[in-house]
Amino acid sequence: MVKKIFNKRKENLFIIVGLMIIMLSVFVSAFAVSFPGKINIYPGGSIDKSFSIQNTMEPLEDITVRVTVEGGGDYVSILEGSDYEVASGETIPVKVRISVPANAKVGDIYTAKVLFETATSEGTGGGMVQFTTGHRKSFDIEVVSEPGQETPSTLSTTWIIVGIIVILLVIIVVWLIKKNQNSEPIKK
Amino acid sequence: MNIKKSVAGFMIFGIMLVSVGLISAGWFSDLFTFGEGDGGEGELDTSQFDATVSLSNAPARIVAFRPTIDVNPISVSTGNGEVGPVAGSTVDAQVTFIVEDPNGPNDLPGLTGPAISVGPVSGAGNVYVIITAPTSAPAGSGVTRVSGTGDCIAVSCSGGGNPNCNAITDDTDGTDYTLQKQYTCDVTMNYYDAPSPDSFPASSKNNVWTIRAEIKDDAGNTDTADSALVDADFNGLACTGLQDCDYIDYWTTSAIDTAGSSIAWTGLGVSATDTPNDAPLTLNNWGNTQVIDLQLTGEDLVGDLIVGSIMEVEAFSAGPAAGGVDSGACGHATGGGSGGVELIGGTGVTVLRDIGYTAGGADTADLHFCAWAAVDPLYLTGPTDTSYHATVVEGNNWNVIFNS
Repeated sequence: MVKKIFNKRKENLFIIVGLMIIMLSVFVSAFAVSFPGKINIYPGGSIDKSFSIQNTMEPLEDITVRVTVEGGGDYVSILEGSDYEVASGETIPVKVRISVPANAKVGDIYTAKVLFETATSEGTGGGMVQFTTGHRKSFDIEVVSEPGQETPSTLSTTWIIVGIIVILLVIIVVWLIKKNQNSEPIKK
Repeated sequence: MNIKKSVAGFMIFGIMLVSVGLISAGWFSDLFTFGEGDGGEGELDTSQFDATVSLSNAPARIVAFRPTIDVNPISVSTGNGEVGPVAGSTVDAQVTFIVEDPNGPNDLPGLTGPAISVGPVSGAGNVYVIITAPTSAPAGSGVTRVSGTGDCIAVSCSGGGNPNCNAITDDTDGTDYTLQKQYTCDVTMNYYDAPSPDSFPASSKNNVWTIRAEIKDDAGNTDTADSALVDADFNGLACTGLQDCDYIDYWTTSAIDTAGSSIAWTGLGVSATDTPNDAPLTLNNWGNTQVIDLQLTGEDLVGDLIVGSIMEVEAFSAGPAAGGVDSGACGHATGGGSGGVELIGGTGVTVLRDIGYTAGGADTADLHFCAWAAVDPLYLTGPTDTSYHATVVEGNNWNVIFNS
């Protein structure tokens, strides 16, 4: 009798396991991140900009967003820590400093990547898979010439062309003079 | 004699070559440059040479633009000349410009003048602002946004209290007066409007939003001006940054949500393979940034009732198309077929999923999941439970990172 009950339970368990229900509930950790499409900066320059993080959670809920520089760490640094609490419906700035070395060449482009992801949040119940979301923002940092300054590469290219022409002219003149000197005795 | 001629000839040839080189480098063109701006070198800036002679009512002229800012809502991050989009909503770009009328500001619209009628001055309007999306923007290039009814107000320049205007001291009685009037117009921009590919100083006007203002006085005289073509240092008030009085840098916004979506396997046969989930995860783009792909990181599920029971995440795959037998989200390298990517516990895998941005509501794209393998016994560890979970609280939630 005991054995029969055990077998019955085992059979029920097999049926349940054989057809499992898995619910993957999407825990909406929606937020938005804004920033200029590109940063222009002078050689040796440093500028402070701010990302904008907007909490768009529905239903309304506070979130904490963790900010990490994943690429271009030599040029981009976060100024005020890595974790930012964003109240429901609020928008906050995330200050970053962008700088390039003095020997950076005009036209150089550095690509930076900054990751924004939910650091902590409230969760609910079992029997489900919860999702969190994040954004990885890539942007270019281009080294540009300061106003009123000619692009060094353009200047040097022009001078190189002029120099080559002058050298060619000198060579030709010298060659003609030599040739003339060599040919004079024959004429005599 | 021939040698001398040859040398002279080569010298002349050389001088010509150098001259051509210098001209091509643009050295001489500076000598013939008239003004600056988008007209390019060698073109007359006609806005500086209005010379209408009128005995009764001289035309008003737009003499300056001030930096555009964002309002409604005011961004916490943007600077002068910059406007930050609001995810899924609108923001106003507030354009400010100064108008001067030789006859005085009283016949200009607003305040003590005629009523403001916002609209093109070629029609019934007397104040108007048009901003145009950068032509090099990847989407929505050349789109215009304009000021509408109620979007423009006049601000007095008299009394010297407005730092944007010129207050002139009368030589005869020492009183201050002005010929100018300030206008601010709020132009509504949408979350899906094209972002500027460039910031200040922009290499080209094609990379930023351009601004044009129009004004018409009571006598019907009109003036139209592009902000980049008027003096940025008007009244000694230098713009705070290069070009921030001339253009608008409309930022990029990454804003994808999955609101209202959920995914499930109803009656998943634990011995079955290639079982797609019931409905896809819908991704909504409420920003102006195109997503090319996403990084999906899964973790093992744990049993609801029995401690130590684990369902490995490697039993699942994901992809942009609905799963079938070794196809769509169910197809991947180890299971055969194509289009699906097997999830790896704790490691992000890349799933291609292009989500654009256009007008008329969020652009959407679906992300499909699949239980590609028989979970029992390969992907079940420990005692078998009847249901499993992965939650934020327990740290085994799944994560989606949108790359843009």
